[in-house]
Amino acid sequence: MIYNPAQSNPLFGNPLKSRDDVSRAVIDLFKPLLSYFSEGGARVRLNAAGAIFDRAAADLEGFARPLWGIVPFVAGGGDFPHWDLYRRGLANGTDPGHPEYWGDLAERNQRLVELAAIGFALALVPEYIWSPLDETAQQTVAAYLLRARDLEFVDNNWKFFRVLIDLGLERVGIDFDRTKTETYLDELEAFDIGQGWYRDGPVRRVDHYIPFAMHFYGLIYTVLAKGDDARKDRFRTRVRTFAGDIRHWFGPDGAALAFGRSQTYRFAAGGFWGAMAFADVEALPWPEIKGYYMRHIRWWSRMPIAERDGVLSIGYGYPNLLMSESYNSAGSPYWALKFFLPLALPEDHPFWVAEEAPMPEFAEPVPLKEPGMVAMHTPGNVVILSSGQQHDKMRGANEKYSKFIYSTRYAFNIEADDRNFSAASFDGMLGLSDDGVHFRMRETLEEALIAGDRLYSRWRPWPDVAVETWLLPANPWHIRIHRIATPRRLRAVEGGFAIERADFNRDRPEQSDGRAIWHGQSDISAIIDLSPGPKRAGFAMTPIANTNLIHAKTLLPQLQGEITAGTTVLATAAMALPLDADTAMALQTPPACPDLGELEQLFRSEGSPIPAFKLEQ
Amino acid sequence: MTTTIQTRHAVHYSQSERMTGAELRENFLIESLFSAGTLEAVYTHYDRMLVAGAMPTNVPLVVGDDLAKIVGSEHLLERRELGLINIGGAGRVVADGTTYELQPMDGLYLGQGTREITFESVDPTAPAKFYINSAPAHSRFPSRIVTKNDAIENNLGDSATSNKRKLYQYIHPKVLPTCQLLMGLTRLETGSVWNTMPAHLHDRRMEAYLYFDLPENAFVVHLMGRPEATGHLIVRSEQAVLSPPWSIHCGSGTSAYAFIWSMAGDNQSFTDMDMVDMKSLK
Repeated sequence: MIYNPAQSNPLFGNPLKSRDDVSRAVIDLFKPLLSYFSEGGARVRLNAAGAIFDRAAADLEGFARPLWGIVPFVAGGGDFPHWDLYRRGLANGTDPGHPEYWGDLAERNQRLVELAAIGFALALVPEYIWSPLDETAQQTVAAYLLRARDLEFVDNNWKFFRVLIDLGLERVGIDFDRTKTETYLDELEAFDIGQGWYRDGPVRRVDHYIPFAMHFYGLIYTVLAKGDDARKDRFRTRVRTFAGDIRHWFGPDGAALAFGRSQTYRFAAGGFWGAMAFADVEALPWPEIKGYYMRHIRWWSRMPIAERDGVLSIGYGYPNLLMSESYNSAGSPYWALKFFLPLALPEDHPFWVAEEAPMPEFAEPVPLKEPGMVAMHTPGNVVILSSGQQHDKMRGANEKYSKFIYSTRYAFNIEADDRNFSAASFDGMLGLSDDGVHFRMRETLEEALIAGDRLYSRWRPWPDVAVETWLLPANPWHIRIHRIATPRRLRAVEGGFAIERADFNRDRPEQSDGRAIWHGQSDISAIIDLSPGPKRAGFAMTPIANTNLIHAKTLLPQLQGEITAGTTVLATAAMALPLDADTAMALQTPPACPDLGELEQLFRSEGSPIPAFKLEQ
Repeated sequence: MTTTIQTRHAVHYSQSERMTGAELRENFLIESLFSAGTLEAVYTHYDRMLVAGAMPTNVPLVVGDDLAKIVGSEHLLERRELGLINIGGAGRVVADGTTYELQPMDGLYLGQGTREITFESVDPTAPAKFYINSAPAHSRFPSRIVTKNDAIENNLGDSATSNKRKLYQYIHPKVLPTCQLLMGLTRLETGSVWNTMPAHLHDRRMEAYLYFDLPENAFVVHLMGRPEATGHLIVRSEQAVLSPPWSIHCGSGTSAYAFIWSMAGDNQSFTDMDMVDMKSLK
């Protein structure tokens, strides 16, 4: 028998249809951690890999993050038999004299993040985690949390962490200066960019932190905070608008859009749907909300996301350090347990009573102006055209924020070798090289506009090379037009979607001038050159293994060519479809190349700046 | 947002003297050099002078392979040199990785062998306008900026003859060495309208004029041709005139104006001119 790595996923085999199934998932996810708790209960060390912060903080992650699932599970009546362990760990971890002390707090330190989970626990289930502590332990814990309040948190969703700590302190009767709470809440609300969207701090990023952090914590606040009704109304109002947009970041199979950083938090992405239930905000009909919620966790239940002992791995669809961030420790993936917030609700809550509704159908492309996206629903997939976001200080930032295209079904590839131009994927991207070895792609932008369901961006891969890119939906295809002004010759590679690769070379490549197609076992992926001039060479390439977020081995159609010094226009159509769609018809009817002059006129008359990008710096 | 290229072949005066006004314009007048987002180039067979205008907006304009192809080399300046004066807003030129910041009326010389050249505007809403000349070169001289202050200023003319003006020598042997390119700028004072009067010839060098800073409805009546058989061109602001070696090149405006003169040919002697007896003009 051949080992199936998906079987190690604690969710594997769970039907995840009912509240009981979801409750069971919490316990199943927690159990593998038990044997890694330290004797004093404060440290949970899961492996030898490092993160940017020290190991004590990483150990605290392993301790605290499961609480995001355990606490609502218990608040909703679930039986969690390990509170003794948690209380012991909390008392010891906050005690400077104990060998398992988590360490002193500092400004913008990772420990501040984890204390939010503890604040949340104090606020929701003090009878399990606080009241049984003796007075000395309570004073120790309170002192640690109060010390955190004196420190500055990172200027983004982190500011909610102090708010959550405050909610806990308030619940257990510890006095503190509430003006600081209000200051942070005001500053968080200032990240509002309209239509229910926030940015995650003073940055050009509008990623999953908006649903699973900004809105998630805001909704918790509406339930657990006392007073402050006007702010709570604003939080709820934004959610009601936002829900209609964020559903386009979820595919019909339940997969979330892989976009932005912290993808290893996995099903935290579905936490937003649960948070709406927790806060009783029926922004969409309960059956629709529940459908998004349940499909999402079922999607994850099929994936090989855990190590052999059932501990969640760093990675996305499978264990993978390549796509991780510097702040991912072995305990970080347990942030995913934010998914389980609605377990705090009773069985008879309308969310749990509701029957799941399928995802609505959207025949037309849906502009999502605030994040700079256009959503296009294709069979089995949601394709997102994207222009307007960037992150310039993170490994893989270009791939996570700056690709032209993202997809719920195919995710994206991380480049594995920045000194091997010919081995790079450039899926959903245009790669350029002036030496055939190193390469550049879209990173930061100079301008980002939207006009209807079309996007424009201007970017510079080098200071003296400018590229203008237009993105257009043409379901199931999409079109990219690039106008490149370069004073020297460049090599260019442009990729379509990466699809899963089978063993034994069973997949069939097709490549010719101006066209490349991979016929996989479950999907096809095609890219076609629509350029007005000479056609680029089609190339059916095999990316480096472990570069795609969902599939460890992938296939990718590319167009490869040379660009002469001067101004060159490249136009590309790309698409990928599951084989049960009408792939033959789609391949026979690629879109025509749009008139660039008309596109320019459209943006001159109707183009408006992308709010995510419109940031004074 | 691209490059446009025309070629102007050389014309003998016996042909030009039979031309209609429209034909004269077609052969000797460059009506458009500055279009937003475009590099417009005219390759002439007069001493192989290339006359161009670059008006970058949101994206840089680049000297590309299409221009190299026109001159039949690997890149445009493989066997050429280039001079320019910025008559628009602040701009920058990046040449082989070196950035030259150019304020209005600053000039730049790029020596032979310069490979990668881009033109940019600092503010796309007030774009730079680079007036560019390029001529064949046999040696590489250093590239450098020539600001308006670096240029040699000459006060010439008289209001009594309506030609009081300041003449600035930008690309000139007294300022920097070049192979054959000469460039300068002349600005007439208010009330003065005549340029290059009395007229002259220099059969050893061609010359080009770019007229600019004319009000919208104003124009220059540019006189051309052999002295004994002149013709005229009505020239608007930011239009250029190609002057064959056999042609006088002078003009009178309906208001004051400025113009950039440039030459290439067998010598760089600014005083090498055959003055024309004005009584002989016909």
